[in-house]
Amino acid sequence: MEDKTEHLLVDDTRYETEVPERYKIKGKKVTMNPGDIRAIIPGAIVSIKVRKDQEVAAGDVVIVLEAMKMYNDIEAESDGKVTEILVSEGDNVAKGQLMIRMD
Amino acid sequence: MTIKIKINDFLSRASRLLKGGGEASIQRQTKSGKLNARERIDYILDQYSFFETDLFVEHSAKDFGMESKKLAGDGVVTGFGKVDGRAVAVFAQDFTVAGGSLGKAHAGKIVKIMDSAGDMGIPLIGINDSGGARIQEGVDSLCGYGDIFFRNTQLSGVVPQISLILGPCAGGAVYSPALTDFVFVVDRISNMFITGPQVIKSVIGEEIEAEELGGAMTHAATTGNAHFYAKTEAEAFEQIRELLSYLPANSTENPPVSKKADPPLNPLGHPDSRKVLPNDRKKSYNVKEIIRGIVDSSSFFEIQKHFARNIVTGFGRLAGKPVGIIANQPKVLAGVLDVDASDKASRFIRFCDSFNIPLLTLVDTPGYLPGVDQEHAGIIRHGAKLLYAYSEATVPKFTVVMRKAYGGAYIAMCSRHLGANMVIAWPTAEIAVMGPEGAANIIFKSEISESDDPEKTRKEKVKEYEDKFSNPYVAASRGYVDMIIEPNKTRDALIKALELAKIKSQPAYTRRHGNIPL
Repeated sequence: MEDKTEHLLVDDTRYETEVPERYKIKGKKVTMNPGDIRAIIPGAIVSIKVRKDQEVAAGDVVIVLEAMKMYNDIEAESDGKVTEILVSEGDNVAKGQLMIRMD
Repeated sequence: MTIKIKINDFLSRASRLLKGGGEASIQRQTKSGKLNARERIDYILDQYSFFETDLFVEHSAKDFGMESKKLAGDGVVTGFGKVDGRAVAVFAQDFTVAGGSLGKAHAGKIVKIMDSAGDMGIPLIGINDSGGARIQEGVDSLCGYGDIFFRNTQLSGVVPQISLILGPCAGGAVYSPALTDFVFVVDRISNMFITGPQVIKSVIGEEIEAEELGGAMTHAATTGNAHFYAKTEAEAFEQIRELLSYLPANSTENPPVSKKADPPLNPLGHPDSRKVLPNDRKKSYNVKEIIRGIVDSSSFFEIQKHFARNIVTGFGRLAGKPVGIIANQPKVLAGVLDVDASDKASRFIRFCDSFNIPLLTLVDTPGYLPGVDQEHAGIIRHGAKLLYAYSEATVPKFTVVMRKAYGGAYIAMCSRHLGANMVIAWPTAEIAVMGPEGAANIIFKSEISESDDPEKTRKEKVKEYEDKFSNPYVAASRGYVDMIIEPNKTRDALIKALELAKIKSQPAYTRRHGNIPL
């Protein structure tokens, strides 16, 4: 173990200590918008079933994602309006990637 | 048939079976950098102590051409032997025979040796080196695995179960080692995963090499599935022999007392107790040096060295008696508790409690690791495991609070409240709700913000809090700490405490078993 002068902040105290790679805070802003539709597994977008500004009801299929050798129907969790579509048909998406924003 | 012919016939059959898959297969195994099943058994056990069983077992499968296939010992070697004069049961899968694949008879041999280990009350060592289920035997293979997993569970806490991964161990097969107490992996030889790189590539589209996905270091450092990592098979065999020297044969026995009980080479705090810790509480040090300064010389044997390095677990001896050691490591992540550290420590505590091994906990932790990742990974339910494991343990529990013991982490690190038999604190201990900076910022928030010179006020308030609370005396005044001693008296105090200690009898509640958060 090399000696790294890194620091970890715990309760306003800055400790001089080693911080392994996977614990390094990326400083990203994490927001959980209930209207966000994210890919729960990596896969490929087969078809996008909605358009921008379309009104959608809970349970409507908004995207068909090919993953695990199956076509997965991704449904809207609640009623709302599609505000943004961030992917296109044929795109490969990573796990957790934001695909559709709803209001 | 004369006796002479019968004996010659037996000798020729036995000699053929002892060659496993045959000379050519053995050569291939050696060329691939691996020892074969019988060589491994010879290395682990005391010389000439191997006592083989079921050499003549054969499969009775008929499908897919199996009827004409002769498989020596059905691909696994089983028997008994000794390690340092103490009996063990052992099985070693033979990769030279049908790739060590598991069929019904193969599994039957393993099940039989497991049952024997349980009946005799001796440790079980399993050497895994197998391509997996013997597809030709279909559901019978699955039955075989199921029988093994069931027995791993029945034997859990009855006898120590040790697994060496000396080849592939994939798919369902890998659950047997996962159910055992200790898993040994060897660089470039061990491979464990549920779904391999080819399946992952075709189904999910992610690309990864076998070594990175499920190789030795991956399991030693990232997944936490392995407890010991070795560069060579020979090193792994040494590690197993050393591990067994700390363990009783079964749960009814006490851990073996070593005649070799020399004091540490660099005793802690000798000649000067002031050099043990850095003056600045924000600076770190290596807790393993403290451990080595307390336990018998050369007796510290670390477990899961590469995983969750912010907590240290391992065995040591005090006047020859084995103890299980858990210590926060300030050198990594300031010694905070997090998901992995909680899992690592809890499993180790419960192993020690199963086998009558007293627990020694060394505390220097500022609390739990803050962050969204930890919260979303479930630090709540993982952290709860540590509270459960310590509370549940009825083996003698000794705690030494060396420096920081803040908040919930103070409670979790085997505090008096969780049933510690003896809590010792050093004069440098700080048993408090949190560090002085954090506490002062909360308690004196309005005073600091309304002040003409907030920074000056903050510094004053931090010092005020520090003087009053960052010490062991508040806790000691309530009897939460049993004694305060200097670091250089720790070893003697612990040896005395160990002499007085006894395993607690179980409480009077009737229950089938508790429900540890998982």
